[in-house]
Amino acid sequence: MSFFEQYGTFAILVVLGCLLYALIMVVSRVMRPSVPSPQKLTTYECGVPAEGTGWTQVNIRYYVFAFLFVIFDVEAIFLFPWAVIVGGLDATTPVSPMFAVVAMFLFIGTLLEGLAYAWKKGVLRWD
Amino acid sequence: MKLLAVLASGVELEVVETTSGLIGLAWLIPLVPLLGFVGVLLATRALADRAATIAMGAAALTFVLSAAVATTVILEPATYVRAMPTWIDVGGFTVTFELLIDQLTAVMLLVVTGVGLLVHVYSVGYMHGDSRYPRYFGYLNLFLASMLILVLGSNLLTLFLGWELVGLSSYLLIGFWFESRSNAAAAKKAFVTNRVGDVSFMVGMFLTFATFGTLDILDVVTDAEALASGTAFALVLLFLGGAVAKSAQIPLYVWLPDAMAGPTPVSALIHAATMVTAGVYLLVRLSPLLVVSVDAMEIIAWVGALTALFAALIAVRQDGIKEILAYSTISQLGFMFLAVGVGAFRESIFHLVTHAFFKGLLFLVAGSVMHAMANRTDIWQMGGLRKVMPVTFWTAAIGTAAIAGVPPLAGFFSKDQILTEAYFHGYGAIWIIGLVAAVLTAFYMSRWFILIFLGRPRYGEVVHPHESPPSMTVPLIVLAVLSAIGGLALNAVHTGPLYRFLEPTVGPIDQLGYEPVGPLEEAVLIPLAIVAAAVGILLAYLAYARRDVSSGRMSEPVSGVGAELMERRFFVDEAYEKVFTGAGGRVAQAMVWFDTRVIDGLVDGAGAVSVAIGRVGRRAQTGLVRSYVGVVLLGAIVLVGVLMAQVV
Amino acid sequence: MFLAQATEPLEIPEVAWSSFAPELALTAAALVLLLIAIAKGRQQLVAVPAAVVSLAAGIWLVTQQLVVPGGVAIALGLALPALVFAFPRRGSLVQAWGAGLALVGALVLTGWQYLTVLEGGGTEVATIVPQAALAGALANDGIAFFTRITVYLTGLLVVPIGYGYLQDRRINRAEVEPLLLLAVVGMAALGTANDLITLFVALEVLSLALYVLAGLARRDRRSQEASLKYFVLGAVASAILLYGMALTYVASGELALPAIGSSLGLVTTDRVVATLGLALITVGLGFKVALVPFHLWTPDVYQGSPTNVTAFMAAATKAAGFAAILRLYLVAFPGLQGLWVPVLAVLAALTMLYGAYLALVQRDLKRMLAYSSITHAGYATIGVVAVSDAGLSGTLWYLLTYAVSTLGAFACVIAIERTRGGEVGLLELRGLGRTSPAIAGILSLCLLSLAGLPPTAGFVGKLVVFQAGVQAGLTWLVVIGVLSSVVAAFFYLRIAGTMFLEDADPALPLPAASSGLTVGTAVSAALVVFLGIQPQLFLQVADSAAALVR
Repeated sequence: MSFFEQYGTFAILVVLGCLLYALIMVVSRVMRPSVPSPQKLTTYECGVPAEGTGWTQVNIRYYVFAFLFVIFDVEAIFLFPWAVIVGGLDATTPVSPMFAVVAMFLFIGTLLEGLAYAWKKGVLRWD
Repeated sequence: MKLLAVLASGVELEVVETTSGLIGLAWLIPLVPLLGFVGVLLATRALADRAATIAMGAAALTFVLSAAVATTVILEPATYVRAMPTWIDVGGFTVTFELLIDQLTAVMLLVVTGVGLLVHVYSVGYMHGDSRYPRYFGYLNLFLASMLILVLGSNLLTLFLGWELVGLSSYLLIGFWFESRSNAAAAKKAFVTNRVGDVSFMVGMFLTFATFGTLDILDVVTDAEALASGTAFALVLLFLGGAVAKSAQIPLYVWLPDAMAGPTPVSALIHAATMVTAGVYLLVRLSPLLVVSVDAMEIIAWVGALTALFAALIAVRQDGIKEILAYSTISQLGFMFLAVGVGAFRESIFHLVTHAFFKGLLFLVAGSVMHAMANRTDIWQMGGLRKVMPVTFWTAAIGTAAIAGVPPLAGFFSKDQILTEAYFHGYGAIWIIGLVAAVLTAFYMSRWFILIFLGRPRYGEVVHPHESPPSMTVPLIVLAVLSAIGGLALNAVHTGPLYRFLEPTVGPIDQLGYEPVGPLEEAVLIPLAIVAAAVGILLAYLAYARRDVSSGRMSEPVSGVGAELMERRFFVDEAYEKVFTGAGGRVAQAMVWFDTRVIDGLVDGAGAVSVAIGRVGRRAQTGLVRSYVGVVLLGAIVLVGVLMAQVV
Repeated sequence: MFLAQATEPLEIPEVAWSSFAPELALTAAALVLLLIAIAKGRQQLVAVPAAVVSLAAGIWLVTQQLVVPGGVAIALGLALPALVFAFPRRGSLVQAWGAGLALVGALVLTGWQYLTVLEGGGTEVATIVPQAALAGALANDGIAFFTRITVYLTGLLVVPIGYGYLQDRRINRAEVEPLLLLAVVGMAALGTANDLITLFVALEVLSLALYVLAGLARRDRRSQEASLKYFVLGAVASAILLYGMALTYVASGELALPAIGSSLGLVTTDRVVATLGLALITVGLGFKVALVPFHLWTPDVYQGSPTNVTAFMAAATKAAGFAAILRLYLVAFPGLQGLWVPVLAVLAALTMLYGAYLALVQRDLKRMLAYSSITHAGYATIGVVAVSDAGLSGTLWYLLTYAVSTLGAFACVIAIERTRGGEVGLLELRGLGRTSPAIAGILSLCLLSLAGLPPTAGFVGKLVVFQAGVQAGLTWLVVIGVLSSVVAAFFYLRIAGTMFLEDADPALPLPAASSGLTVGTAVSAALVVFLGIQPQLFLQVADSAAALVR
């Protein structure tokens, strides 16, 4: 049951947190004076007044950009462990250094093909 | 290669595996009509005129082959196995296309191909001018091939293959004139009713494999003796379920009267002579298994007896020329089941053969009459056809007398032998029911005959009946001759040639210890059966022939609630309609309602519980997707709960 | 501590290329086809270098004594420029032919693989010697081979079936074939995956490709809806599945399925965590193969997607999903058999009845086939819960028969849709038997096969699965299966009846088959009959497939 015991600690923490939150809210509710005014009810009491609702449509392009960014970001993460290992390769290892380099270029090439496709489809155009 | 398969009772089966000689050609028997079917359907455009010739040629060829094979079996009696390629072989489950040819097969082959050939010939005249003439013959050949697969299969699965294919071809032929909506409905009814029986059959097969480790019929019947009676009881009842549907017995007989929507030669071949007897064939084939469970056999006997009586009662008050014959067929099949149930397997096959003769004949007569009467079917609008259709009249007379049990025609011997066996095997009540059904048979068939052929014409000036062409009358004459002398030649006495011929293939009944009902001897029982036939005919004569029936419909001699019930077929069709279609539809409706309403409702209810689902789904997605996710999660929760409850 | 570990020499597994040669070929083909699509108008610029590389690789392989893979590479390398020069202006035709040839190559490679791991031969029944590859990440055993055959065959048939249809609807975009190939690769990998990570990656590869394919018809709201629904629900299911895998890892400390299997068999294992993992994995995979109550997406998605995609989803996804189910439950979870067998058996029973009854009241043909596919998932599950060699091979075999039957049926739907547009309801089918007997005949044949009537493939499929069920003592489940098949026969038959036994509406245009559709439909129909009458060839393979990497 060690697995659930770990979560047990976590659960106690969650419960304690909730209790603390509730306690603070209750205490402040009890102690503070209540004098509402329209000014006080705005979302931000300073700066530009909020307009419209929080649910607005965002251009789908941002999604594609974000997507492409994430893909190449993840690729960079893959490059690091590869770089660590590729230095230790030589003729005695089951995989030769040349092989490792070609493999990585194939990987990057595949991703680049995706980018090229996206470009061809016109999703990279800004306006 | 010769082998000896010893039934536990001590009966030795001489099994001969061979691929040479005439038996070696047996595989051609189903193949020839199958090729005919393919040929006719493919050649529809190019060789439309020759479709009948091709189909008939195929039927004739397969008849000759069957006769040759049957002759071999007659001359050198043995159980022949013709090795064939494997069909399925997976993990110890092996099924081959092997053919099993023994005495029972030989009899069935001759009946199927013989009547099949005659019906082909008859159809040339009957279907002349139909717009789908080639297709009709193609279907007929398909049926012939399927039925021969059924009869020849050495394995329950190949038998089942034929079993399903005959159902399919029957479906196609019942709905052949699909311009009428009711015909299509009839075809569907037949198919679906048979599917119900198939469930039973299939489960029976699975249980057989689980019990014996094989589906090979020879192995099954050889090992049957060692079976626990409980297992045997279950197996027999499961196969009975299949047989009851295919052979139109209570409670699954309802499709057969509707099946009369098909062309009349089809009714003669499929719904009288061959396909509907497949259930009887199956039970007799498995008779060594049947004898292990006497209880199950008694159930078979009661199913048969009640069907024989019930269908005969309905037939008494029907008006359609083919409906009467349909109920008569159900009733006669009931006699065959009765025979199987009381341990009279050979008598059952004997009746199957004679019934194929006289009922095939009667249906062809009906076709001939309808042909002459511009497809009129109400027997009250006929009458007096004796003069205009002499050949049809005389053959009909022989057929009617044969089914009514007039000695020395075929039906007399076979029916009488079934009844005497019931008596000698100690089934008194069933014997009496059988006698009553025999009286009713004689009555309704005489009524049928009198109203069609005797008396003065009632069909008015509109139709001008005429005798049918030779292609139709020749099969009538052949069948009439067979109906007349078939019984006498095959098995006039109880231990006749057919009886001895079939002896090795059917289950031994000696150890069942049957005792006669009473002290009556055969010398008393046979006259009793004759009296029964005479009473039925006499009553019909008094009721219909002696009275003036010249002007259309007359009042039936019997009336009242009982007669009304009989006329309305005891409301069985309506009841089935209500129960099955109604209830089935309601279940489906309930499920749809559940699918659309309850699930949404559940989710909305659960939304309050599982706040997370609602929050995520509310604005982003449509309501439906939210519901679907909700159901998936609910299902997951239930599943987790069920599984966790077992380990925590 | 962590650093000390890192300095230890890392063990690099031997890469057994041959163990995933078919997938490799298909992936390469998909990438090249996509490149060709990008280089629109200047296709030679891509085709010629790709062909040169492929030829060089092929020749090198042949010199390494690998004649078959080398031959496939050379053939594909030669075919590519030939296609490009033969159809310079018809990009989609190049794509279709390219994909088709690549799939043929993959089938050849599968056959080659199969022969190399066979033992015995001659007249003896050959058995597969299962091989693990890539440090146990892949298993080349019976499940893998049979799934490959089914999936590649399905892909090969879907390409010609869908070609004309995509053109009609003007959705024959360049990414269709590459996506299809990638989905096929994912499915084949799912059948091969022998550890949790490979399994999940494979599942996502095929799912992502299918999400896009389902939404191919961008102007069609129903297609968009199908795609979105499939995506959202699929993501939920994937998340649940992933969580289940994580818990399984927690319980067993292993990722490789055989290791999980032996670990869960120990008494020291935490059964509670393992059971939780099992339950969540059941939910996730149950969703993918559409077991009740995780089936709800199926009708909407099947109805909305372009019909050729639906056909592909129905036939191939089911095969791949069940391959994963078989491997997971039989290899990783035999220790928990007492738990999952009853649960899956109940799910199977529910699925069979529910699907059959709901199909009964459908009017739309695609929707009805969707419910029918749900029912068939139930039948296939019988083989899984039988927990036997017979059940395993039965399920694999069942999926093949189902795939060819359902492909044929959907191909006929496409033929009708092409000229009539929109949805195909029961009413539109009236009298089709007389106006176009070939299509009506083939549709009826495939429906009869789905209903399980002899002598079609579906009959032998059901028979083998039911047989395994009875042998395993699950007679009650088989009886439910037979009963539901009777209900199912009713609605399959209603369609056949509508076509043959009712009058045609003369206002309706006749269905029209393109040449590709004709070929695909004819091959499916021929397979339905062939597998019904002479199933032995594939049954042998299925039978020998019972050898697993454990």
